[in-house]
Amino acid sequence: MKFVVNALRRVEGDGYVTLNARIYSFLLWGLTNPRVLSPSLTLRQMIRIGVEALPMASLVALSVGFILAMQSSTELGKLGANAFIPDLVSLSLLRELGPLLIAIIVVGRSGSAVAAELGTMKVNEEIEALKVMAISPTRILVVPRYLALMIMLPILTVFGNCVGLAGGWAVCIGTLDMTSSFYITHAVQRPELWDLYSGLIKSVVFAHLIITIACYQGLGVTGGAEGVGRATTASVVYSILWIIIADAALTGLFFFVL
Amino acid sequence: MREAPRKIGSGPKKIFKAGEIILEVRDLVQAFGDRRVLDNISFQVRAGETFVIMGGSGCGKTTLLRCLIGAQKPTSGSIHLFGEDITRMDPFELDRIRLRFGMNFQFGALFQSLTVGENIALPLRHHSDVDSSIIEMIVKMKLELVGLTGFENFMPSELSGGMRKRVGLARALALDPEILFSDEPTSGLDPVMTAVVDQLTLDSTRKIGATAVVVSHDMTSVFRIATRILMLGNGPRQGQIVAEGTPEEIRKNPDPFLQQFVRGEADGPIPLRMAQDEYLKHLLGDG
Amino acid sequence: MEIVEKTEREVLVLAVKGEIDLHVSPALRAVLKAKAQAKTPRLLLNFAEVAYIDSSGLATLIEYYQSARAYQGRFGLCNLGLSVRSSIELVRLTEVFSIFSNEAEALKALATS
Repeated sequence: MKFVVNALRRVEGDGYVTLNARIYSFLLWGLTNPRVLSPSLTLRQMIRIGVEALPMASLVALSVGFILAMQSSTELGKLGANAFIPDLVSLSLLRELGPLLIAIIVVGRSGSAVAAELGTMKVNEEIEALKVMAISPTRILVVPRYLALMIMLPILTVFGNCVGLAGGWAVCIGTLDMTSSFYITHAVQRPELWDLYSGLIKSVVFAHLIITIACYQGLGVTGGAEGVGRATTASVVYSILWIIIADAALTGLFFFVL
Repeated sequence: MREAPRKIGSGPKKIFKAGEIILEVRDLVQAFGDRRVLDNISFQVRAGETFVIMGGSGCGKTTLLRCLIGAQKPTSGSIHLFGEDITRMDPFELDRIRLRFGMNFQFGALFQSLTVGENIALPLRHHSDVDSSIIEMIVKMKLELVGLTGFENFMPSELSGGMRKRVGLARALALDPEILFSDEPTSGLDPVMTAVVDQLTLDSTRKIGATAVVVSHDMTSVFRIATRILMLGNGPRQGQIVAEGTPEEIRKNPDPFLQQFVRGEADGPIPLRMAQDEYLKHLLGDG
Repeated sequence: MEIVEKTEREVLVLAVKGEIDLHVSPALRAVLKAKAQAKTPRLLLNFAEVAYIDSSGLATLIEYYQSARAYQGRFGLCNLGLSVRSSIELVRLTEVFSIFSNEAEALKALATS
């Protein structure tokens, strides 16, 4: 293992694939020596890019819950199938909208912040200074952020799913004369465990994309403050692009293959 | 937070005695496209020296320094640092060498998210098992060296440019390096602080036996600290060595290019302004 | 690093051998901490065979000096080489430590007070 880790750390260059290789080399090394993963730095990042995104994520999830319930009630109502609204809200949240929308919020809020922060450090020669001190920027800057988001995005997604369900509940109770027990039984019984898991797998993949793209763009900044702006924009645009492509690919995989 | 496979001072390490060649540059070329920023540079630095690289803006001083610390791969040529060719090293091997020198960046390159004290402590925490109370004391000693006692808990953004530079110097000295690389350590400092930084460079070399490689164009400071000077040219002599020698030899060297630079005169062979007719031709068009 | 311990005229003499750098100083610190805990009344460090001391080594000495001062223990250094003396001078600690040129002189000074 040590051999693999050291071989990975000898890789030169600053490409996207190289960055991934470096991250994995430290994660592998961290399996035998957890100190490599800088737990305190990781915790700080979990709070900064995860916990602090909570209010915004909740607001979005709540709104999505409202929207799903209201939109579906107009059509399903015509068929007299309002009883299926809880099923629809919970399935679309768990499988699709929860992971996707929370990821997009995190791109805008945390991904861009990471790109801007690392970009500013690059412009300020801080990255260069770390390298010259034989301290790997990947290890102390990228890995803690990577781990933080890989842990926090699925948690935020589960949380967002719950808030979204609450939004749907509010609409059903308030305007559709449903009882709470009816809504909860249906919303919770209809989805299978796999529906939750498939959404979480998506959010893990999204987390990987968001943080590697943000770090790659941030560390690749050239050309001063203007470059930081460009990298921040690029990180948001590419993250959203790749998240949606990955979503399509994963949905296809889950739908047709598994 | 120590790097697991090695410790400072461990492994095969040759101790360099005063006078031995600690840094040797051979036929160094750095080209960006067609532009040769460094053109066949060769020189040697011996342990215990204060070696000053000087030259006008754009002469490639900083590029040369970046090559010396392994931040940039030269187009061709070799750089032997501590007897090993760093141009052939991968990042992993380079880290072993990097533990043995300190780099003082032109603008300090401090970590904005850390306090002054944490900035200086970072290399110590990362590379050694030394207790944090010891690290705290080392931080205090290093800050005193650069005249910033009591600034441990300040954030870099609360300091002036000159203070940041001095914190950068303190951080470069944190691991008691064998070689100190300094990029314009005195530019932007007041005369008193310039003298303090110069004295510190001198003390680290003459007293502790370390080697200093300083990039500077502050003539007072250069002649105060240098044991040897390397002058790089710009314009038609872009990236070439104009002169090399002791401060005395540099002062006596009749090269007009060198003399203009040392005396700081606007008129001379260093091309800044065009000749009258050329200027008019350029301004008025070729008619 | 090797440390040879002996007691002479009620002074505990530690003869240190080797270079004191970042990965040796924790060992020296452990030894000095033990001496401080035992409240050694008189301690002399003989640096005759120390060619080099870095900042962490100096910090270790200061730490012992502080703890010895708390219980009024006496602490001295002797036989400093040029490099070690310069390192101490650079951080302006010559006034803080009692520095003696040789062991006999140090023993005399530490034992009588």
